[in-house]
Amino acid sequence: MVLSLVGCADHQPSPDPGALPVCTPTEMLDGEPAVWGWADLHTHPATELAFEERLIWGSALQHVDVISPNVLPAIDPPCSVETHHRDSSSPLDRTAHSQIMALLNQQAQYLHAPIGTITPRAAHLSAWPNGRDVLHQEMQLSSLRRAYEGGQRVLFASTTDSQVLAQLLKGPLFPDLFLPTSTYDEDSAIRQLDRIREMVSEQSHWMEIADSPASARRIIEAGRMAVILSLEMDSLSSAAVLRMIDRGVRHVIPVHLIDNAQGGTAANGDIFDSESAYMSELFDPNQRLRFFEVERTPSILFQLPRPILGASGPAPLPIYADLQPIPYDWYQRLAYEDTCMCSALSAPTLHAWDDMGHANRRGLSADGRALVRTLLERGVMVDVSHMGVHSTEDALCIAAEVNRPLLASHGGVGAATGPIGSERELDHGQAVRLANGGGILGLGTGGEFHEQTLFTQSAGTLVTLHTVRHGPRVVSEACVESTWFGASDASCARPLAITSPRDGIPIEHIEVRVTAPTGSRCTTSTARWFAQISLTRPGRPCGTSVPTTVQALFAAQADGSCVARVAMPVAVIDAAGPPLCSSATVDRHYDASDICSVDLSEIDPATCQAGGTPVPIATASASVIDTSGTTHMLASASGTPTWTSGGASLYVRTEVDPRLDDASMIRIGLSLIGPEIPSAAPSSDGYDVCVRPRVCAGDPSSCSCTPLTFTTNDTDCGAGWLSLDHRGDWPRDGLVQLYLTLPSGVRAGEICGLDLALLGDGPPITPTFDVATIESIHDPISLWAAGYDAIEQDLFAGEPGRIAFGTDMNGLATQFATAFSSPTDVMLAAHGCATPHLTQMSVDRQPLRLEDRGLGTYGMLTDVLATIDAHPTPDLDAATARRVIDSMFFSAEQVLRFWERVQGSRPTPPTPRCSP
Amino acid sequence: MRRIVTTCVLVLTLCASAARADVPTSAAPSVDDPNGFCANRGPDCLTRFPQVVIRLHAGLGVFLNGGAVSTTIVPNLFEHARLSAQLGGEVGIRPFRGGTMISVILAGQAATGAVVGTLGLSLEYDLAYIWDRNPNRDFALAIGGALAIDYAHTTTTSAAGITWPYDLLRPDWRAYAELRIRASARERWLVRAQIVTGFDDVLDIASFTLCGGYVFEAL
Repeated sequence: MVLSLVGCADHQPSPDPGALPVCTPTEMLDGEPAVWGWADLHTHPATELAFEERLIWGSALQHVDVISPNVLPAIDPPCSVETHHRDSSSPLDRTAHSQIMALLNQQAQYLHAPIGTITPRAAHLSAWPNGRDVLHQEMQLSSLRRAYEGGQRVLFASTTDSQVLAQLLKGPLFPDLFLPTSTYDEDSAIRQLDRIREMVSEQSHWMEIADSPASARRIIEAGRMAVILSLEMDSLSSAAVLRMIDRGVRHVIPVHLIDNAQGGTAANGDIFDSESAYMSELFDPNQRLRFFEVERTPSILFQLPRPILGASGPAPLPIYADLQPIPYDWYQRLAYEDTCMCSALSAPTLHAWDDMGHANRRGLSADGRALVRTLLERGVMVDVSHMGVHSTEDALCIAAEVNRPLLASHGGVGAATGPIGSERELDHGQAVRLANGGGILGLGTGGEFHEQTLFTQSAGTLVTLHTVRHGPRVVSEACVESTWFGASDASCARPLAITSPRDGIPIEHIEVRVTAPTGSRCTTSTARWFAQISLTRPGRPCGTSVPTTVQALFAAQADGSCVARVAMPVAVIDAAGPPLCSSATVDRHYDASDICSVDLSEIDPATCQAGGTPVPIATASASVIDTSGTTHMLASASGTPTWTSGGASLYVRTEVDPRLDDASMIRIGLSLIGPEIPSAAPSSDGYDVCVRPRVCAGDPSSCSCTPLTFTTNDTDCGAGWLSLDHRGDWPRDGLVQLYLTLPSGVRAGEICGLDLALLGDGPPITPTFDVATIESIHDPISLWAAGYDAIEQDLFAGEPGRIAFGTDMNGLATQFATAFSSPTDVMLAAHGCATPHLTQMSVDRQPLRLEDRGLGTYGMLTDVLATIDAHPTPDLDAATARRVIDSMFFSAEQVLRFWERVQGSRPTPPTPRCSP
Repeated sequence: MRRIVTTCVLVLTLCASAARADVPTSAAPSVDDPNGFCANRGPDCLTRFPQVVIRLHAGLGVFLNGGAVSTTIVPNLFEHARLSAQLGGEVGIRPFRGGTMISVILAGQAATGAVVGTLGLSLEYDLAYIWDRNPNRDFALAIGGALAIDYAHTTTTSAAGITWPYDLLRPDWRAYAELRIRASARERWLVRAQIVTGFDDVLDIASFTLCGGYVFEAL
């Protein structure tokens, strides 16, 4: 079986189900006949071969006796939780896997599950497929077939890899942690391309690799799907890229996750910053461990955090190596943020860091510019996705110079006004130029919820479940209540008392006071408490923008307390220069309503690192002092004698009163301090963490916060309860989330609390949670469709088809996590053609519903389109839904026309010249 | 796809010095005792065990580390070369008459930007004993396995001009084949070639070591 999965000699191809009947659209596109179908500009069907075959489990080539668009075969063979390495027998491997995979799971906020494990309740059925899961192949042939029968006619099949991740999955090298290798990416790309070719050749009746727009048109006109080979690698030399072109690649993403020989990447992730540093030696031996070099800009919100590198332990045995932040003086030279709180420990510092994000300073290198030009001149599609703003600018200038269009295959587009989230979004001005130059876009399906926090309660020990045994099972119940509501259940966890800030109170000082536990005094002699006070510009929500930050160190007081006091107004750091500690420039005044949060943490002066030891705090408070000397309390906390390492958030303000939120979907999140909650095992069902929202209908000041009564089908937790479904073991510091569509008539703003229960068959345990969060969310598919339509109107003046999917399956990209509903029957029609009738997809006779799984497997893209077509939510109107469907079914044609422009057989609109 | 980490030490000079064992030479050698080691040690000398063997070796060499390797191993071996000096030793015991020896191994290497230490326990069998039962012959071909602890300290000077240290402590489990050639059956100077493959993963770590050294044995 292993051999069959890796495509060796005994691999048994799945039977080819053949092509669908041909249909020619009855409608013309811009006065010309068009092919019918939709396109996905970015996928990774062979990604299981990347990362040294140690990360992604499953294969598109998994044999099935019948390829059915309605039946997803279970992953076979099943994978273990600990490792995705088939040959692993080494403790080093297993330890490394357990660390790296957990890290990826945390990033995806989806715990790995015992896929395929045959236990009473831990089988693969609840764990795979899922839109948040990034560690399993999502493009099995059955799934691809469903996409094809749902109208897909163009598939960009791309390669990817990360040799840093691959090496780390094997444990640290010896004696080095990591050494970049020049040939790794090319070898990996060749293997993946070969796998894609093998897949297509086995299913040649309904798919074929296209090496030109003419061949793609011929393939689609025959009713089949055109597969376009694509490169998305980190460290290919330009010569290697050109060798890949000779192997049939027709689409290239020159810059991926790191700064490479071709240019600067989008500086949008701390992991990629470290990866870029480890790889930098490969591109310039004199530039070892070079992190992103950034400039501050108000047009971007994202800020890189302090980078991490491999360092000496401690870490889980048998590996004595860990990831740690780089030294403070090194970090200071990077000038990512003002770090004066570390260098001026003798007194509180008074400064603020303006809300400006990071942009990579690097554009395309000379080598990169030459490559882009060569590729365009050879008719190869060049993609600006993953490029930083300067690299994108350079690429646009080269494209204008040679009069060829570019594409951005996956990601988002920034709004016309205001900053973009990070460089991974295409700057609006650059998007306009790309569109005007004949380019096309692929829109990512990661999904946004436009979530709003209804309440978040946090503390070192917010709530602990003390299980007691009832017969064969152990049971525990507890509850958490929101501080927004007047009504209260005294038995519920509710640690913070918060007074909403009032507008118009001018701030003379901000004061944060903490007291030590009884019998001890506040001391700052060995370690410093550090308060970070966040202020926002008027009109900005605290949680969705980068706030101005005021940093202050606590000073011991005579009464035993510690006080951090910040005088206002706040000085603003010069964004263009290195961090400053004593800027005299003042350009902004705040009042109490601008204060978002106060975060407390502990700093080790020796290394200037926060956390590591518990912070003993008996009470804490945040208040403002106005110009008349009157103190206005904003938040206080007590009864939490120990707030764990890393500190605690004392107060986080939401954008608006959450009681006014009328959304119909919510996301519940719980973060576990410990101990680990075991999963089901062959001899036991393990433990289930069950939740039940509380609602407070009516006048918020007088209503009662009572359990929400609704019907559930949850067999684990019982009627009226929902299982958080942590699938595998719920590790310490793990976050588990649950999406829920509220019963009719219940508004998200009425959610006032959360009941918790723990059920299990094992010995009593006492898990403790530090954060409970409930957010209102909107249907991500409706938002995606609305965004699609808005971008099409904005950039392409409503011209249909210029935007396609850019799913990035399975490039470790999370997909839609949930949806308002799923269609049970699918049949899509546009331009006089229609798809066959499809039923709801299932795995092992269990229906795959978008609301349960999200976009968990590739074929459910068809269901996404059907959901848009049905426009079941108030977030999407019928006219918009129709435009999106009509547009998508012209996207295959628009890809062909774009490719023809790249090849020069169709004219490209001229765009203004610029200098790269 | 395999990443193979290959560590190779090529000995350029022999520089070991050690106290020469008190080897009796006055007696005439016999077939079973060609160097006369047991001539004055009693009639049961050749059957008395355990025997203690101490080998010291030293040399200069080069670290070659392949890094992440898939299908093209050889080009990667030379991407990250480090000059190194090696000093090592082992104290072994032959617990009974035969080709088996149990040793404590200790080795240290200083390379450009790296210091490496290994401490472990090995179990080896002298294959040449099958056809020549004299343990003091002038050559030996042995296979063995070892469990060890490896320690490495490396430093990297970053693009920002800051030195970043990195220490790694990790277990090492390996199999090796070793060829030892002594100057003669009487002479204790030797040249040793060792090929090691780690069980970290199949062929995950491999090394070739060529050393000069000195050996003495005692009852």
